Amino acid sequence: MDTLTNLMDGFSVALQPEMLFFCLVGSIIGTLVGVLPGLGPAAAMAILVPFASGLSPTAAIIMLCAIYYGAMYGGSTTSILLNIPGEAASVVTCLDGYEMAKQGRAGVALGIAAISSFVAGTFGLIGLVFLSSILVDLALQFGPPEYFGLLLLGLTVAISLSGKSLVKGLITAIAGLLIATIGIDPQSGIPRYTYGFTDMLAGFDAIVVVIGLFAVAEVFSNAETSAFTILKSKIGRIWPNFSELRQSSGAICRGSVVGFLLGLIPGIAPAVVTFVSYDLEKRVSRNPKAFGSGAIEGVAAPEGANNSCTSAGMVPLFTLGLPTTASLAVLLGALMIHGLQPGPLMFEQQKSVVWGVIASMYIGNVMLLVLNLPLIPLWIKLLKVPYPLLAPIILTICVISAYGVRNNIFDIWVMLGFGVIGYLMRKFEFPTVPLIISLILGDKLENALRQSLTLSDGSLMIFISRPITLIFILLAITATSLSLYSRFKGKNLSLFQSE
Amino acid sequence: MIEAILLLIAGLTLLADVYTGRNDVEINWPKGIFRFRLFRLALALVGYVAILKPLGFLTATFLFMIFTISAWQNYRKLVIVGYALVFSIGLHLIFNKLLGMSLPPGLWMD
Repeated sequence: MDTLTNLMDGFSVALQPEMLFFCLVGSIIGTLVGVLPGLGPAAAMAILVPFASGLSPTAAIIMLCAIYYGAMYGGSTTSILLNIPGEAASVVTCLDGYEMAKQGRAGVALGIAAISSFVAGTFGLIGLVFLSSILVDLALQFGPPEYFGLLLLGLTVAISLSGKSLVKGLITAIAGLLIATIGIDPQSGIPRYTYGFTDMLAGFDAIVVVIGLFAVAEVFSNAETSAFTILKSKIGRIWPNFSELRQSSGAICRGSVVGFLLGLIPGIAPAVVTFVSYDLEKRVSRNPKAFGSGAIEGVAAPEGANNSCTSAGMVPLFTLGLPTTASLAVLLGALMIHGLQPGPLMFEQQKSVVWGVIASMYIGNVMLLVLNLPLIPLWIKLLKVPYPLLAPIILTICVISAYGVRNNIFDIWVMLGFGVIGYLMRKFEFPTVPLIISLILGDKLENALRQSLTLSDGSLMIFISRPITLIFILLAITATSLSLYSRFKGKNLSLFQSE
Repeated sequence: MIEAILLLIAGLTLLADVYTGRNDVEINWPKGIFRFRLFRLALALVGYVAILKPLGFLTATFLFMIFTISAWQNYRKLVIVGYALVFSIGLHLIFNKLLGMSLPPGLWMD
């Protein structure tokens, strides 16, 4: 009952005009990001963090969350109408969605995508509310050693699932940890890896690194391809009829559940979640041959999965401070900028923020359901803007944003550097997600380790003698061994795919 | 320390993988016009950041947009200049005035 009261209080926060406004702004920006290829939610959220720093914490986090789930709604639009996935998580939607559009059923595909997103969003929210309450009670018992074990487990799983090569995932994750140590050591005050440069003393800001790795690198990658062309298609009727609804209801439910469960695991990108859910649908279907030629389940399942997966990702982030995707790592960075430490204590001390944000996600889902369809003509117009004209604006906003973090030109150079690194990482197939997650978690991991060692007077036994910590560490070892084992057997699980 | 050792081990493993052909990544480097475009884009960005402080946001952004667009696609000169003018002033208004940021003022002390 306590949870329900909290949720009601959350709604009273989220329904304030200011919060509604930022929820709307975030939803629209998110949809825009989802529609436009070449700018993912992680990049867009990172770009907006410096601008949002003047807002109240609740408003800023509400807006950033709205961008995240808004992108999942927007991504389906262009996948269905134009066969252009605006966002990695909607690649699968192209398969059947675009086929439906070619058959003149674009409207139905869009309608079922919106309905499925909405149902899954609702399901995800209920899951988020109840699972969080359980996890918070558990996490309240965590001390520094348990927290260290948990972060280690999260990081290990993220590495194991990040890409085709375990070694490359490990390299990027360790590089992230190394980058996190740059600057003044918070405990002893000794500068680390600064090489005498005063600009390096404050370290590399994670937001700046994300803008470089995701936004700038993406523009570089797009510079070497020709501009895409826009096709015309008729939208037709939007509301699915009864038999179409009945046909896809199972898919929507399965997609929601699969999305939610996979969304809880660190390192599994929404793109992979949609793929898994599509694959599952194909397997349980009585008519698997219809998939790929306009099966409505093929749109309903992945669209539901990516929405419940975004809600699920909030569970480990809010209750444990553990981000599962690059976008959520950015959100964690934003929470810390606003002086919020995600974890069980946040649920006690910052009730209005946490529950306000959770409630706003539901409001945002309703807004998107209403907004999505009428705005489609606008998005299509926007897609007609040639990329060469769009790229300088995206780059300029990246520059402004990186500069805005600390009003420092040095940060822009860091961003450009990571733009080049990100471009090369794509070329050489290094996953970027472990780098971001470990960069964001680096400080926390180090602090947890040091506090634990202070507790135990420097003895490492503390990690073995505390049962919960031991379980986490054993799970981390198991995850790595399993992943090593499957690689040695030459089996590549379909999950090994990066964002 | 531990990080460095792990990184070294991981690097060596990767090297071994590449050597034995277990980690073949086919890299499509951009060719011809695309390589040239990428190169000019990188150059434009470096130049932009270098002149941002001395010339100020407005001038630097205007020049950057002209250079980037003309590097990317052939448009008429007037179109490019007009576009760059509108958007550099637009972004200046949005971020400096509306959002109250303090971008480098440079030549135009407002």
